[in-house]
Amino acid sequence: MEISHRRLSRVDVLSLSGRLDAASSPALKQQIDSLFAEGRYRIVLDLGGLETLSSAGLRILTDVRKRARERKITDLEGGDVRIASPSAYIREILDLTGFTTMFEIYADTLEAVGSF
Amino acid sequence: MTKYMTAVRDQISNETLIGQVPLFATLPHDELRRLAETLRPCAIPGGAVLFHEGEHGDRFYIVVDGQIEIIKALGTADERLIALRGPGEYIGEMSLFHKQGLRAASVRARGPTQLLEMTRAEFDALLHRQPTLAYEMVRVLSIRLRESDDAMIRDLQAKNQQVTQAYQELQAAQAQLIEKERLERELQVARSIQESILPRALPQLAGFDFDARSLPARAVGGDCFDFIALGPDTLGIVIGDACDKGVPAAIFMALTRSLLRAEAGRARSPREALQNVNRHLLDMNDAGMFVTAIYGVLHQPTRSFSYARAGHTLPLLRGVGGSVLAPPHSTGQPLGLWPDPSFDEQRIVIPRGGALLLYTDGVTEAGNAQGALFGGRRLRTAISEYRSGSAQELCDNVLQAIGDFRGPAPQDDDVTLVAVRAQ
Repeated sequence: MEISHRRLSRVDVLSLSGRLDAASSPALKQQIDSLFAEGRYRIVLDLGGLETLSSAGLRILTDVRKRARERKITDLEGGDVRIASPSAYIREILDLTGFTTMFEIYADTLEAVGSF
Repeated sequence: MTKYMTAVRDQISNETLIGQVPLFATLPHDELRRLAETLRPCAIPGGAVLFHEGEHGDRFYIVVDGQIEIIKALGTADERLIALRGPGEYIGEMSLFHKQGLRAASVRARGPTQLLEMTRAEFDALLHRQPTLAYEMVRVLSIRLRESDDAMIRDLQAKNQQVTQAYQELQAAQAQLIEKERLERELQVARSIQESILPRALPQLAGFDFDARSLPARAVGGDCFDFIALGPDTLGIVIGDACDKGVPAAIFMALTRSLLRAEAGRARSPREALQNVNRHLLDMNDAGMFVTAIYGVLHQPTRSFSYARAGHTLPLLRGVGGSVLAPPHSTGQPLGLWPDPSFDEQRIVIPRGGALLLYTDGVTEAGNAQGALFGGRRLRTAISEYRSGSAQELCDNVLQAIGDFRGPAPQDDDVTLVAVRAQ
């Protein structure tokens, strides 16, 4: 799986392509961990290029979202991990596994970034 | 050898040269003159090999100028320098005494070297004329032998050290191997424990036949299935998938399964059973692990299966004609993550001659060497194509289709199937 990173002023965008599964999820976790270490807690995951998402991938997503939200950046706003541009198949997986209600999901990256 | 030898007229007369050699220092002048007439001077360039170990030799040389290397096993891995001979010393004497006259070592010039050469015949004649020379030769020979022995002993000591080191490395490698074998044995034990936890026999319920298969990707897996006897005509059926694979997932799955077994007997509905299990898991779960599952109750008289789905893949229902459908669904969330998850509750009826298949995502996510995934469509085809035989044949067919698709690619994720056929 390939991860490309774009840093905006308030938000970091990670674009994933390929498969997020047990083999590739540690790399994503590591990348997000290093963003957290820099104090960056507002992350948009652009899943436009993601072919499939396994339960191991879901586990990492749940974990990083929880940690991002625990972090208060200012009194008014906290961190979060939000999802953009999932394909119909990824949406179906998120739907069937009940993760749709957990993540804020946006049709495209622009909207997702703007939501912060 | 002869190509390196050039007869050279030197400004120093042979006589003086020979007289400088300690071996000949005590010889009378007329003998020195005689030797001077017979010994041939020659010069060889640096690096030239004068003769090789094992060759026949019948020449004896006195070093006049330069240095000569005495080398055993020249050109092999065991090559070693035994001694250096300088001006006034002689070489090639061992073969003069050796019956077959074989060279005991190789001899090489270190730099440009000048020598005086004497044949065996000339040497024999000299010894006859000057018998006391023999004592001097014997004395030098014994020193030479001791040098050779010393070199050999040093060699043996070095070899011994190498062997000791190699032995230590071997011991370390063996320790690693033993540790690896121990881990593998533990995994085998874990695997047998897991296999023994799975239902030993398939349930018996009039009008139905069942089959279930669970194939871990590693020695132990994170999937499970279960059949829970609830009453004379009801049967609890479980399929579960912990969010990982290997030992941690297997442990978490075993825990969930036990909890569900305990709750199934007293819960009023599948949803309530899952809710209770979820509450227990939240109490115990720090690692952020979660489980997707379907727990349902099969009611024999109505052939209905009422289930609650917690984020798991949808069940598939095969009709008699070969149609394959998934039931409608609502949101179903996994166990172990949130305090009040939604569960997808449905009731489906298995038609006579039809079948129900529950499966884990290791089926649809099975990948081949080209990177394609088995997917839902191939699964439905495999289910549809199976001739209405037993639940066992249904499982066989699906597994065969997965195996054919995957080909040589390794199994990536745990695969579990539960099939229920209504006769």
